Amino acid sequence: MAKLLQEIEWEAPLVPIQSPDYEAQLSEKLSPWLQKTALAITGPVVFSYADPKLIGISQLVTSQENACRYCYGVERAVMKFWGYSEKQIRDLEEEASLADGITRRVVNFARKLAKSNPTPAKQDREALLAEGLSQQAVSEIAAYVGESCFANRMATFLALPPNAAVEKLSNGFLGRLLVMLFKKKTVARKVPPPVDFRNEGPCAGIIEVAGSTHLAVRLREMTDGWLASEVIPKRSKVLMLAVIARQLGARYCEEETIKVLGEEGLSEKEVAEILAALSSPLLSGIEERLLRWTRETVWYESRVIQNSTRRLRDDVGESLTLEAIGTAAIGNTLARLSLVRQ
Amino acid sequence: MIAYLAIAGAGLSVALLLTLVILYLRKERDTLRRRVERSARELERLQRSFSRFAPAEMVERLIEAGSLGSGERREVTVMFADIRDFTRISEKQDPVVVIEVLNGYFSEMSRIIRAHHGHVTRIMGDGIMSVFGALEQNPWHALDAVEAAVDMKQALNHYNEALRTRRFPELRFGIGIHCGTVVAGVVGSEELLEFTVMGDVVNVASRIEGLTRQFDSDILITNEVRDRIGDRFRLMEMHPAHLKGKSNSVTTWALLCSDTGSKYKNEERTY
Repeated sequence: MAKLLQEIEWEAPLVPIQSPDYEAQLSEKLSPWLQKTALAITGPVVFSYADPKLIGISQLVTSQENACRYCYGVERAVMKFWGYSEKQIRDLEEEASLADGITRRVVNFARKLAKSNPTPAKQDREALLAEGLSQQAVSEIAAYVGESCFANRMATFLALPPNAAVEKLSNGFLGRLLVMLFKKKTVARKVPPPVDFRNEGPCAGIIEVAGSTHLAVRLREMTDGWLASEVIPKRSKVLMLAVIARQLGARYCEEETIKVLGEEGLSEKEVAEILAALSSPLLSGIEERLLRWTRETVWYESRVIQNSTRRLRDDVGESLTLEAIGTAAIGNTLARLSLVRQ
Repeated sequence: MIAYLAIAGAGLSVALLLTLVILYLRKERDTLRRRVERSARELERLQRSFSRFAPAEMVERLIEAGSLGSGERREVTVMFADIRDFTRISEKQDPVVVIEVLNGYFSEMSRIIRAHHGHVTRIMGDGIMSVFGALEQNPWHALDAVEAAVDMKQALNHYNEALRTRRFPELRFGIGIHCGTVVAGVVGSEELLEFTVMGDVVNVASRIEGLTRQFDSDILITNEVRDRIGDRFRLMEMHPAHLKGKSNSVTTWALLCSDTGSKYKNEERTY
């Protein structure tokens, strides 16, 4: 059973910043693609097909499953802004009294995809379709689970201090009233599906899982920005994705990485050798260090991974660590989404 | 007037009846809530006590499955660690101190095994049996076991420093590691359940641990393990040895690690 908010153990922030505007200050230290992504994912929920409440529910349970104290607190607050009572939220967290079939199926699907241990089965996705959700709505929910996995890892590995202001606001009557007045502007926005979206390039087959949604467009941009970033060499980043895929048993994703690594000069045999023992004469010291840390990012205890990330920062420096965190975050999103089509 | 009184009386009766119904329903709801909370507490208590015999993930899986689950075949690495001559040492020491020393040792070794994604499945006297890769997909179970063994050796050195100040004899252990396919599952009766793995791999790992005395080596691994850990460790090939119950001799490798714990060939941190 996933932990409840008050049960999550959380370390001090990875990047010590003495400022009331912690997130903005931290953002300045991130590479451009991460800055852009952080801005996009902290904006309002944009949807075209799925009921935004189901998206909110999937984000809440994903954050709970990933034991992200920061996101979980924010998602709880969002649910309260949407009119959910404390009891209704507890029911979702504890999977109690979920009489509504769709809600139960979405909670189950989101938890399984977030955890991916065991791998979510085809019937979990089909169960959502059987409840009357469209194929595109299911894709949109899956994409939001994937995006939450990204946000959860960023916030957890950085050990972001919980957003006390938002959490407090959601508990107060005045706060809720204010948010209700501006709910449509701040919480969810229905938009028409994207037109002329071209999903081309590495991992296109994985991003396809997100359908023709705005999240798919965002995932494409994130992936391209990530691969183009030069803070960590492309080869090392794709190897990190391959490690995540191997750990999750995500064969489709691993095959995708082999293709990209081939273009980077590594043969299939060499990749197999590296992945078998996470070490090889072909790897540099930093690459070995990054790969070994990456495998810890798939399933973790929050405090343990936070301490492990701190040790990584001591070994390789702040800039590389921040980029490695982004890489592990997007890697876990892509590898998990690939399991949906596996 | 009488009609008014009758209507008012009827209205009052209905209101009273409704109030009683509401009160009754509330009481029932409270009773139900208390029962649910009690059940949850009971489940939590069971979970806690069962966790001592099975890893938390397994307990969770069993609870989700609503049964004790069936066994499954898994590829794992099995490690046996045994303190040498502990019986002889314990005979000359205060029993209270012996148990204290042993518990301190188990606690430290279990912490390291957990940190390397393994879990202790059994404690036998002064021996520990642990398994890597039994509960979740872990393509690096052999690597994890070897790294755990190296860290255990380093931790034992630290522990011995503490024992020296207490005038307790130094401890030395032997570790045997082997990997392969086993049957994993929960076995036992309602009174005592434990998560365990069964198969030839377990017997071989145990016997490899026995060979550590013969070769005067702290950590021995088999060819199967060596093939899975790359070239990161310094290893020395030992003479082929016959194991009880095996027709062919088995080649083992001694793991050479210095007391400072430097186990990697490549520790530089540059691109």
